[in-house]
Amino acid sequence: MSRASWAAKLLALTEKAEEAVSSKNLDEQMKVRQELREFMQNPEVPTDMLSIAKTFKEDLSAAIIDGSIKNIQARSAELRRLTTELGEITADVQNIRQVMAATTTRISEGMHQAMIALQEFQKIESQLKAKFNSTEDMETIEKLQMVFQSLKKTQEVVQNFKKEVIDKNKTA
Amino acid sequence: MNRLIAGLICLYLLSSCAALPDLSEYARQTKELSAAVNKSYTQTETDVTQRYIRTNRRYIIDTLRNAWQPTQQALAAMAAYTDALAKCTASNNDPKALTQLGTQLTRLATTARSFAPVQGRAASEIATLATFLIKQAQLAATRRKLGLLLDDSDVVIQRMAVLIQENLTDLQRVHRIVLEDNLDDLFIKYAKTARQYEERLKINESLMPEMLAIAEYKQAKLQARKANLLQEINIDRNPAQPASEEELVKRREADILQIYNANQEFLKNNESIYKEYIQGSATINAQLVQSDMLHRNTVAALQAWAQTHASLKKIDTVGKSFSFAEFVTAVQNIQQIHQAYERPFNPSRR
Repeated sequence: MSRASWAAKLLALTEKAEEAVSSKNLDEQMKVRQELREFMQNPEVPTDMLSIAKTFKEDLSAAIIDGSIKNIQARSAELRRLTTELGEITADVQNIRQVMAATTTRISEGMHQAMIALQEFQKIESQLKAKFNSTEDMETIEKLQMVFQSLKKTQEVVQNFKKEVIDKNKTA
Repeated sequence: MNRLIAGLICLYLLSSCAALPDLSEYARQTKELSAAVNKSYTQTETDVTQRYIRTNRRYIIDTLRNAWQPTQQALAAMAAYTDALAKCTASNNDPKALTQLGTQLTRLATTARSFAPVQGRAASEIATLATFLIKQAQLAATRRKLGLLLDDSDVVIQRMAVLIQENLTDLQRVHRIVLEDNLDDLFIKYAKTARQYEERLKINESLMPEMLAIAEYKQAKLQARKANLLQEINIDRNPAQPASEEELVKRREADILQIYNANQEFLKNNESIYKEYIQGSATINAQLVQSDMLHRNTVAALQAWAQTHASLKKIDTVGKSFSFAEFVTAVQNIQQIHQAYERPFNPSRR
């Protein structure tokens, strides 16, 4: 191939490269770049033309990299919004876990109170049996009232818990 | 106490029986996927930096780093999300808190001997029943709430997976260009010398049989053997300048040695350049193949990750049948490619 033919081929490639860059079509730019690479790999290409082809190819490489980075940047806003949304959902998931843990704790507390009340009740019950004859034993009556109050409180805890769970499930 | 039992039964009615799936491995693999994508990015950034740090296109390094930040944040959010998901389901399947409740219930039932609705039952039986009811109630509530959240999050996850895949495609293009430009630089700098090196090596190899024939000819005593060997030696029979066969062989030997020694000297002087070219080209070509494989496998892993999440939406029915084997394999593939990834050829002599 003559020197003029090589020059004509290089010129055609550079024109194609410019067109591809102005069209912002990355696939087309990649194709022209590959053609430039193949041109450069031909051992018969004169040295000075090889140097020109190299410069053109590097400019084209930079243009493709810029275009690729711009594509990534164009997705940034949406990706940021989705990341924020996912963060909020993650917080909600963590919240479910915390609510469940709190529920278990509350059930546990209710059990504990119920047990104390029952123990007290049994104590008073035996005392009542022992003092059944003394109808004016004020001390026993007071203790009995305390036990009832305690039991009532336990009942309230359980009722509230039940109501809360039903309400939450309805809401959910 | 009757009301407590009634409350537990009420909770039971709200529940169903399937256990929530164990998502700990899904969370772990998501973390691995996130780390693998970050590693791919780091390799690209390293190669981009090596290429452009000392050029007037240095801005590319910072632009790429800034552009990639939202992707890194999205990957971190993905890992945090699946971790929270796994912990949430695990807390329902973790028997520790429930065992504690069971112990309390046993003590309570022992204390209340006249436990009306469950009269005649052993205390431990009551505790087991109550623990089961509480667990079922919690499962039901968690499943319902998670089901609603997963509907919302899946929309986010599916879109996020698509955007990250597209970003990875752009990132891989950047990496490919940088690696190919490194390869082209190497080619322009050394290919001519390398071609000459290979040609001269080939010439010297082709001269070897003739050199051996000449050496044997010089030592041969029998005329018949000499005649045979002469057929392998390219002597120049010029009628205008007649000479004996021994003389012609001697001249041929001198010519061959001149060519051979000149080539040997060239080979010796350019051996390091040739090796650098061959090794450098092989390294960069391997990096190009690996970069491409890494990209394809990472995209496949992201798709498997999103598909697995979509299947989680059916959390009411997945139960123990929930599987993410495909996702695990995809992540393992990426890790294997990363392990095989050689460090980039250092074009310090460029």
